[in-house]
Amino acid sequence: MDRHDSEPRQGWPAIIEEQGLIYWKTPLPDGEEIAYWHEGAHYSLTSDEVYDIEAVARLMLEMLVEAGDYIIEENLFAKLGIPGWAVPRIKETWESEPPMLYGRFDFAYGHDGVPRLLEYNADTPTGLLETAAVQWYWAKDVFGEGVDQWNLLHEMLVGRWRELAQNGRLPGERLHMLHTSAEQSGEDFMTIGYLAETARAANLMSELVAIESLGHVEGEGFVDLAGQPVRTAFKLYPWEWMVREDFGTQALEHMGDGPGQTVWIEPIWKMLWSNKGILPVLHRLFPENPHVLPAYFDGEQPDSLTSFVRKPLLAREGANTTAVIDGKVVEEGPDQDYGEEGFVVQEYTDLGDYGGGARPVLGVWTVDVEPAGLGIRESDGLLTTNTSRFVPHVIS
Amino acid sequence: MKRSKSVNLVVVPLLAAAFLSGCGNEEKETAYCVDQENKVTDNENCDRGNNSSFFWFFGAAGLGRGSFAPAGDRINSTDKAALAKRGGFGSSARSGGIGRPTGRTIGGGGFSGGG
Repeated sequence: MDRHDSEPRQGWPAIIEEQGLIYWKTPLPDGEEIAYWHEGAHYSLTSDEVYDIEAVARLMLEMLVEAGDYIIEENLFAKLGIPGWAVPRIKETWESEPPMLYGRFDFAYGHDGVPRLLEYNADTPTGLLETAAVQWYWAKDVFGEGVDQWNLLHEMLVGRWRELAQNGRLPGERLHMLHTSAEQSGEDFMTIGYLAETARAANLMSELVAIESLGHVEGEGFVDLAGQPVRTAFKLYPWEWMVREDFGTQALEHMGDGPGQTVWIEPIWKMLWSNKGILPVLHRLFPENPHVLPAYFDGEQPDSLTSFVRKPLLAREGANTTAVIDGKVVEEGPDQDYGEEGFVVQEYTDLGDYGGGARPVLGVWTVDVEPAGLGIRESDGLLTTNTSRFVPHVIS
Repeated sequence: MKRSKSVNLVVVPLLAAAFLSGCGNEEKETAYCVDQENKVTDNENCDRGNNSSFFWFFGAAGLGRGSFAPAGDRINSTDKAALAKRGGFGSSARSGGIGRPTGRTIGGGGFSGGG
């Protein structure tokens, strides 16, 4: 994989905003703004590299199934900070397999060419629209129709909705697509809007609803603002928050595809895979696997581990994450009060400097259980945080 | 070829424009329980859901008990949609006896839920 300088398209901000990327400016604490979308550079991968990474993602999905079984058998829920009242539904849905849609692996891809798993965002992954649509249009605009890119994400999402609908697994007259109105940049709203677009392409009706406006009628279940039952809900709102909020009890009690019940996408068992506690579990099960970094629940790491990244079980975008090299703290992510449930410690791995200090993380998207495409974010530091940039790619 | 054949965006540009035009920054709507004269009363009059002389009125935050809501949309408190308990997800700030956040924004550009 290589990084190249590119000439940005004339008028690119208007182009990407029209395509839904209205949240491309990231405000910094000092009031400045930086561009989250960066088309002044791009990455190129060979087909062989893509096939390699794809094979690793497939293997990871199989390993994750074993890791999920292990958490349940060994009853590690408390270690993962998962509250006891959510456990019965997690176990039940792990077996019954209600519909799931997507996820995103984050891989380090240093100069030795070995993808190493940093984490799996299985419940509420973002960066979707820029991967599936914005970089797709960028590639066509810059390189022409014949260009290739690892990006079947749009097609596979549409296909997945269609398959679920044909198999009768999406009850109700329409999908309720839940975003949170607390998110002001538009990222949440547009991610949900884009997913509604993929559902539309599969001939499904959907409605965008703020999760704050969701109603519950005793004996009848969840309803939208018009009082219509919410039978299938896609939510961009993490389960670990939902189970602790007022409606958490109702969501757990009335989960399912019957009348008065709601099918939730992603399903609640994704709390197992999206939790950083999955990393020490994978290491415990597959200690020799080159794609799994040594990782431990905080406090269980050997003294010999002096270069590591300490992450909260449940944080996003590098929040409350610390990078330690040779025993010294070299970088800390923004403090957003995560970490109450505990931390994991993962051996430090070099993301690789691909030019000018740019360190990429490969976001490998999965639809159902198939690898679907690639979105690359790069940082100037060691941690990937909310000040990282999205940089498009092509297959050379 | 590992690239989608087509990525047709129809809804996304409309939503992006709606959000940028201010849908995301607008004032949050509050639901008030009003009587037949539009006078703001305690939520519990409406919460009981069995008295058709109380209504939910939707408007901007800031009205106190006994003040009059301006003319506007109101929903009978016996209506099922109005009866639903709301705000159980997503909202950490919740007000007490007078009014409650609905999760909607005022003038949300025609999309349910607004931005």
